[in-house]
Amino acid sequence: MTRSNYWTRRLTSAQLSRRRFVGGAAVTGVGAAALGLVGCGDDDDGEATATTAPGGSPTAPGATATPAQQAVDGGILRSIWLGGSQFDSTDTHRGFRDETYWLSNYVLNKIIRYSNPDTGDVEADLAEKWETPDSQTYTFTIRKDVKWQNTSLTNGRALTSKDIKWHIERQRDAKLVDGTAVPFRFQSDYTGVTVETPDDYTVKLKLPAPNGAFLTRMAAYFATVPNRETVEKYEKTYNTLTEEAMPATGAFTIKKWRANEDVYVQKNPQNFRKGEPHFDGMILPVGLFADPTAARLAFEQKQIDAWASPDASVTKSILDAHKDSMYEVLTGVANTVFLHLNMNNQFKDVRLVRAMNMAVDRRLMISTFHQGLGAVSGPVTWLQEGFAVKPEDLIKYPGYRTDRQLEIKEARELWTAGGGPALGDVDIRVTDTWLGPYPDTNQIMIKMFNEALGVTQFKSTKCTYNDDIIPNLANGKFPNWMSWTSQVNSPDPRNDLLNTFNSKGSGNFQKVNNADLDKLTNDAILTSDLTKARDLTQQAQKIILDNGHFGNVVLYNYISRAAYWNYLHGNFKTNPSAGKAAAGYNIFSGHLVAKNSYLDPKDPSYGDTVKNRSL
Amino acid sequence: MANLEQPAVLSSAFPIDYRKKRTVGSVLRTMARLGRRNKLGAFGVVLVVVILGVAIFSPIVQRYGDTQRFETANPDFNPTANPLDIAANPEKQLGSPTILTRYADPFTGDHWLGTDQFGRDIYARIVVGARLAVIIGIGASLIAVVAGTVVGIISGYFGGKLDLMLQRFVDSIQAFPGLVLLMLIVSIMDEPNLALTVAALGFLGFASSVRIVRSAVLSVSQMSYVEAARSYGARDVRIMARHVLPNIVAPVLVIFSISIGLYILAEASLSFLGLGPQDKTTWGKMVNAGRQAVDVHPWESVFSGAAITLTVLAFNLAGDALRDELDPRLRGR
Repeated sequence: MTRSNYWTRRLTSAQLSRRRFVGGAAVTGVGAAALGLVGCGDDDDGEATATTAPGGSPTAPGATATPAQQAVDGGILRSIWLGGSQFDSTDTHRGFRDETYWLSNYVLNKIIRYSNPDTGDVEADLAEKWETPDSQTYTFTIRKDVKWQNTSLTNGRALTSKDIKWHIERQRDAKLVDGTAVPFRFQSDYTGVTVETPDDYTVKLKLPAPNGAFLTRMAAYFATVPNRETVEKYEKTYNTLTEEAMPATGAFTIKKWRANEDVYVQKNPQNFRKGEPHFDGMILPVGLFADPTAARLAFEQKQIDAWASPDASVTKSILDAHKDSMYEVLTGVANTVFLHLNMNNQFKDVRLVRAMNMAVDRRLMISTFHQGLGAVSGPVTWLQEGFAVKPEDLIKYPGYRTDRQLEIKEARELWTAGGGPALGDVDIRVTDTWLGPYPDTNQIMIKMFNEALGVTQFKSTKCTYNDDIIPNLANGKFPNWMSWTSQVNSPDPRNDLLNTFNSKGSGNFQKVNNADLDKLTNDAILTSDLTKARDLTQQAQKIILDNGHFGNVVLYNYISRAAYWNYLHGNFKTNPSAGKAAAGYNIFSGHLVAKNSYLDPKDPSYGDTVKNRSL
Repeated sequence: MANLEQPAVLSSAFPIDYRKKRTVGSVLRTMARLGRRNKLGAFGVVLVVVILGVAIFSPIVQRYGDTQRFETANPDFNPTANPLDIAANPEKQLGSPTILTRYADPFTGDHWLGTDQFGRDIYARIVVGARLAVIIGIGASLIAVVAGTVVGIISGYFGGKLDLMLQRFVDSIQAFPGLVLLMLIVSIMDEPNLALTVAALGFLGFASSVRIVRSAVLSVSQMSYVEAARSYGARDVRIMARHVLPNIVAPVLVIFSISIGLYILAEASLSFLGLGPQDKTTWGKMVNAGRQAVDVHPWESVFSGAAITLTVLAFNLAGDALRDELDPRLRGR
């Protein structure tokens, strides 16, 4: 949620030359590449710009949680940190839902990782260092102390450069062992990438062209490196959850993995990051997500340690009633709320999509579902401020204007011109995971669209990601649906735009084929000049906005208000202080939980319920 | 033969003599007499009449639309507000042009029963929910009773292997816990809608209707007028329609009236679990939606829960009263 003025200054005044980028990265290694690439973080100009945390407390940029030396080891966390409960894959290469990726960040590692996801600073993970001798070559030196969890398939062997080579080539080729071609969600990130392994601990990547955002993809939450032997053994049953299907290299190993119920993870004694995690284990009762009332009761009874009601006013009432034993955490939710309209099917005419983009009342939805805690987002969300269309410009685009009557008038004209009334029933489906916390959404959708377009043809039914959406993405038969969809995975949106809107993008399920957009998204990736990258991204967004987002209608990102018991020290960007709320990372930071989070048994709120937990 | 084919024993089953021409006054006097004799039943009947009235005339009495949101202009609205400022001043809702009238207290202002979390009038939603509840209750009961009566008569009248097979089928339905079976039926369908909910509830009630009707038919089938009709060569269909059916009307009416409340309750359970009609305002959904904040803002759950309780109570009391009046052994007790 932090809106660093630094971003704006950086993008408007500083231009990082390619020479500087290459040299900086090569010399300073860890962290410098990200600095060059996304132009943020605590950089070399010595600025100590204060930014304001969501709770209103000024903090230093990139402030981290309580220093590690104060952390207390031991205890078992119970929390709903995995969101919904519908895992679709044990194979991190083939997942289309975020839950598997989130879990994998407790269990697996990436080549590099974000030290501060919101700013884009990166640090070593499986790679202890890296060099970029030229803008298309990355040489990673892999740690020698990383071992796979000891299973009958891994035999506790060391992770080597061959694991990284397989990890990249498998996604690039998007083929199973038997040669079957299957959809890999991030295939286009690796198109044309070649991998060499001069020795067991060196990986040399050669990109087909410069990619200014490549390292941010390596550090994103979905870039965890799984074990080859295990993934290949479970290739045919990759959507059947078993603990053995994801052997660890990271902070935790999976002890129990039950669909719709819970996940148990326990401390990995072989974790190469000594002293982490602080927890002995974590119990993640994912099933509670669908029942906010049960979650709340569990929180009040300390069966879970942190909780956020879908109704922020309810969370506030609980916080107010327990001022001495709880604290507030405000976090921008990276899981963006989308309206998807299938342009392969009912919404082939772009006028219909444009009409819907105006008919949907984003601000009303924020007000209705989140009590005003949130802001509208363009194709690049407000969480990625450096590349997003500025709010003062965004409100001039259809769908974002404040004159609701004008939006409705134009929406109706387009709906009629595009043959909307002849479509018959239009079903805007809502995922079951959304309907858990927001159970009356169907009625609200029906009313909103029927009233805005002056028709009675809209209906709204329930759907699921696993049955209705994911299996039908590649074949273009997915339903029209509204829910959380895309997890913002880095401050740099370029790859996501390319993935979704470029005709060669592996996430281009709407089959967008726009030559200008192809060129802009390609060029934006190629450059390491941030100002140019931003300009190209802005131009691409203009095309996307003018075309009703091509059916991938970004609605908004909201702000979560959570309550934490005082005994839980969370994984925060800014810790709570003097009655001020803590600020969580907006962008996924699960990989930092092992480092930053712990339970404090000396806190008065700590009790036997927490103490007596066992895995 | 003509006499034998007259509907039999109606006069002994019904306290009202249908052969006499009745006036409004006489009906009211009879009802008043029944009311004095069974005050609880009369209370139930009055409640049922009120509920039916509300359901039928809901567009007139609901005051507002059930999905209408109430909101006021937000003086602090800033369309370019920084998310940071929005988070720092959550109560001002800087990014919203309007502020919903959420959780308004009941018995004050324009909202008799207050508003819900989305700023909708709870009274209006309860009135609209009443219509749904009545449609579902009566619809499901009709399906259950009509289908159950047909199958129950056939099963009881013919007996033998057909009876055995039909009763085992009924056994298999009743072997499942009702709510579990209901959830199964609804969840395997693509989308729970009103028609599906009514049909599923009717199917569930069908089994118990068959049982009761069959028992009554077994008794009636042994009566001499049925034997007489057979001996005169009347066809089975005619005997069932003209001699058996009229003589089991009393239990059928009782099943019908008593089970309405049960179906309303079952539908509320389904809706509470998110398996009811998604696009309609139902009391079960209201109870579920309200429970998220039940200790802070209890009114939605309390009022919708009370509506369910009163309605089920009303139909049960009315059904009990009807049973008492139709069963000579219970009359006057």
